[in-house]
Amino acid sequence: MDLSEVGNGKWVKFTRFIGGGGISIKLRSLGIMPGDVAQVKRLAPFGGPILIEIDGREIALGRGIAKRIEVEESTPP
Amino acid sequence: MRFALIGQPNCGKSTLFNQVSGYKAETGNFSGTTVTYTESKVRVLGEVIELIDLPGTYTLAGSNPAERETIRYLSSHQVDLIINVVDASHLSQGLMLTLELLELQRPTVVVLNMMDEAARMGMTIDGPKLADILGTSVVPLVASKGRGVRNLFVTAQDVGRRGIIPKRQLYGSNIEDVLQKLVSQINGRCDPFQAERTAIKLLKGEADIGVFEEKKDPVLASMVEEVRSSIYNEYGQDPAWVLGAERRIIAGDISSQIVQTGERRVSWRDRLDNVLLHPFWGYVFLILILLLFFQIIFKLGSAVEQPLLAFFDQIIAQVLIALASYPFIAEIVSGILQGIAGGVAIVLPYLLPFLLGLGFLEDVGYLPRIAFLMDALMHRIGLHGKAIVPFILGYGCNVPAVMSTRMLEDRRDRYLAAALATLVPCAARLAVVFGLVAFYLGPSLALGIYLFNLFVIALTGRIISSMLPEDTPGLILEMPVYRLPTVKTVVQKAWFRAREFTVEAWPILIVGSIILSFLNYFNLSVFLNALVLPVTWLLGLPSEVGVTLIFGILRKELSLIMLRQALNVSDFSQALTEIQMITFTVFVVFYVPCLATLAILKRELGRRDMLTIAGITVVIAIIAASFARVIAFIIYTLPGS
Repeated sequence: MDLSEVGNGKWVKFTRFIGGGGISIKLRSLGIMPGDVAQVKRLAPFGGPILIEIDGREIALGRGIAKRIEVEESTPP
Repeated sequence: MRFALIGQPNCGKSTLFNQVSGYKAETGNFSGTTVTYTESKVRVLGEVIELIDLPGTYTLAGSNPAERETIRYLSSHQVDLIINVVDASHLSQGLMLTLELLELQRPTVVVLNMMDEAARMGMTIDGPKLADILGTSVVPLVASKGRGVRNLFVTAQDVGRRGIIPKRQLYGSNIEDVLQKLVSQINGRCDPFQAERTAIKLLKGEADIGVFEEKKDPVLASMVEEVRSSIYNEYGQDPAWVLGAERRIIAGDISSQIVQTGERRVSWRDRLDNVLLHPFWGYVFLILILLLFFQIIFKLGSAVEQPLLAFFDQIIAQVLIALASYPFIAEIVSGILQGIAGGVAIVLPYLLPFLLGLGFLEDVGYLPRIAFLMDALMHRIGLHGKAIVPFILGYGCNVPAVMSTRMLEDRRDRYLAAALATLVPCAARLAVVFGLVAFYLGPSLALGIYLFNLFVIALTGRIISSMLPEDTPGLILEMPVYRLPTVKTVVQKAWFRAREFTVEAWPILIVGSIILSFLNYFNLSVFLNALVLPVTWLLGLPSEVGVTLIFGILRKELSLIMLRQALNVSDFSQALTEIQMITFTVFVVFYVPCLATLAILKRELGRRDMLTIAGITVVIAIIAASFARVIAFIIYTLPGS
């Protein structure tokens, strides 16, 4: 499943970043890597971005980017 | 000595820099406000220190222009000391960059900034223990309030002078074994400090930015190839990623050793975001906040503008009387004065309150929230949420709007955002819309023109983005905590940006005015009218209007001022029909941005893109004005209206 399919408030673990190198580099430069556990905090309407909280920081990810992040369900760390 | 400030985006480097340098760097509660580096000289204990504010970067791997700038600077300039600014409230994240910096093996001081924020979050941080682990000095700081700044510079000077090299933190034994293997191959050919550092770079596959070229050494080159592929096989990821992941674990480990988390107070940030990012109320508040924002600006602006203009008109009138016997000189002098007056009348009344208000919204942390809310909509026009900022700025003046496109990562996005931002009616074009349409035809039609403008921008965005090869990569944006900005930083920032406008755009305004005076004096308007005849004829406008359109390129609000001269009436309704007024206004709103904006477009995107954008706007203006003409015809001539 990818991040865009995750419901609000759920915890997920990033398993893989799919597609072009650009996105993985950008995510890595923000300190987001496979294996990280994050909580989905908000979903913007109209197919807008997804707000995740990771390590106490909130990061907005556009839906297109969220679609390219493979996740699995997880529990709070 | 030369100190370089390095830290992750939004950690407060620029705030610190401005505390000691006066206002020179742009700050904001928004990632990536600094894109190029800024230098300043600071006097500490009688010694002059060169301080460099480098753009924020999460890592030294460098995928965007700001990050590359930082890396380039570090590898090409002599830096005596690195001041690594870390946001104490997000310590483990910040330490990841610190670990990379330690690998450079240069004197480094670690600054824990935003200690007040960390305390509010219930964190206690053991600074001395961190200093012990990292093998260098650690200094607490609250940059926004200037607390700890002096202590920092005294410490920095000491560390720099003694050249204390920090401890590199070790990776897992797998990685360290590989590194040692590389080091032994490199050793002897550069100094031992460099050997480890070079080994890490080679392993990451970043030899191009290193001091050492492995290509000259086939044994080393094949060894690098071999260890890189063995790591890739073992971990299933590029070695650069593997090292990054290990640094993250180390950072988390250090952070858990030195941070004690107490009771976190119920976050008012979450409560505020529950409203401001709400799927429905978020938009209601967005509209209210922006309405209030523009309302205040226009109230303030119009209150100041009238007396200012009256004042300048008086001066110009007196100059004309005094120089009555030298008509040419009088014309030129009044041109210069008009240019100065134009600048004053735009900058002081509208741009300054606008920049103050924007600085406030930015420092509070609301702009990223707007980006979040508007992302979906911006995608429809081929951009993403962050590109909303140039649009908001555009309503004040297109010059800062185009400048702000720098914070977009991709060139494609910068081009599209700049092109669309020039279509946003700035304060000067507002004067035309108000003076003509609102005054003669009523405010609701003026509002209609604004809505029509939004529609055209959206349509243009769709069309241009469908022609651009790639898609926008999408929004990745850190949502900062809300911070109460200090008056000082907001005022300084507005002043800094106003100065940028003054230096970049004002001289062009003045030159434009002088050119106008020449045209006026030598009575070249007939010639100019002929030049624009295709457009005026196409749009069914009187040919005398042509000259005002040329003048409008020099300064937008001149279109209206010159219209009075060109038509030789004081009441426009005597010379123009309602349809013509609407057509004229719509054309003025869209066609070629003013000279100052063109200059900025050229600087930001290059001559070719500047010319294509200018060309596109003419085409859009003609189409939009023709469309408006048809609509106006329907409104005003069909029976029953």
